[in-house]
Amino acid sequence: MSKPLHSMDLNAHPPGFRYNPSAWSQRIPICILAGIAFLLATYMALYQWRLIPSAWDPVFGGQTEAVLDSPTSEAMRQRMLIPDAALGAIAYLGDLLFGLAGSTRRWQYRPWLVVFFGIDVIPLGIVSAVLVVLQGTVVGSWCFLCLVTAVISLVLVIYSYDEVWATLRYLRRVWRHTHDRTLLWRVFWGNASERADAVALAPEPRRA
Amino acid sequence: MELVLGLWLLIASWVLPPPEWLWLPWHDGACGLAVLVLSVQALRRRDRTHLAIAGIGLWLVVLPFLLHTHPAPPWAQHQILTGLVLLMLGIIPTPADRPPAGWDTARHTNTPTP
Repeated sequence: MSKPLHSMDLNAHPPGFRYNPSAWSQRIPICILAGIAFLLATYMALYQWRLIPSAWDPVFGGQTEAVLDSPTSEAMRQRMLIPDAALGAIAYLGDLLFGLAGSTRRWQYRPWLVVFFGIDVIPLGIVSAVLVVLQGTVVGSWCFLCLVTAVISLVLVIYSYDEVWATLRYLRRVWRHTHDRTLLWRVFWGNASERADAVALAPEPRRA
Repeated sequence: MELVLGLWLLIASWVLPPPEWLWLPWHDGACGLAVLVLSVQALRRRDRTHLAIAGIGLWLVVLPFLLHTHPAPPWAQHQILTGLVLLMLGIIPTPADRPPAGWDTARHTNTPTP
């Protein structure tokens, strides 16, 4: 039996949700914020490459340059071979790309994509935000643009966790109904399955 | 985007300051050409061709670390950055805005044929 794309409900809500966490209205704000953070991080990377002579900071003045030129930053550059701000820019570009990829039902059709997106946004976002806040104690200076990107990282975590949660709950439902590791693995990588499809929109049993 | 990055890889080695290894511009050119061909194939076919682009991206990221370039010259940083972007783009299937082939054409693949 086949069901063509036009007859599929791409805006279906996962059970337990009153909205679709993969809808564009949910993902576009994430992409805009990630795009802004990408531009800010790229600007700081341009300074670290000395492609621009100074780094703008309306609050802490020269402290931004002190942070970007700090021994901590240089040590990271020695290990990663590229400036830490460039690495941050790539991470935010990843948030943007993974945010744009996939249909509005990717929580079911491409679980791996949502999980990759979640890995890029949630743990990395929290770690980068913590690192930026620590810079005040470790480096002894504050960087306004770094703080802005840290705030964006945390907002991205808040915006994106519901979609990741919906996907993980879907995978858990598949496991509970089938107890089939092979099927779970195939479903995770986006392979079509009638058994998985049957539980995708089924209401979750209430706990006694 | 993969096409643009493939083109960029083809020309970048001749634009950036020359590396100490003479074979590197040819290596990057070959990688760029491979990315171009694979990108066109990925656009035509809805299979896993795009993962080969991710593989090239991963190789470009790893190579400067294997060559022990400290401090990293421009070509090494260029390879790492281009490789990381190719890696991310290569992971994402083409076209990414539609459900996977199995879901939109034969949704019930596990149904036994009567």
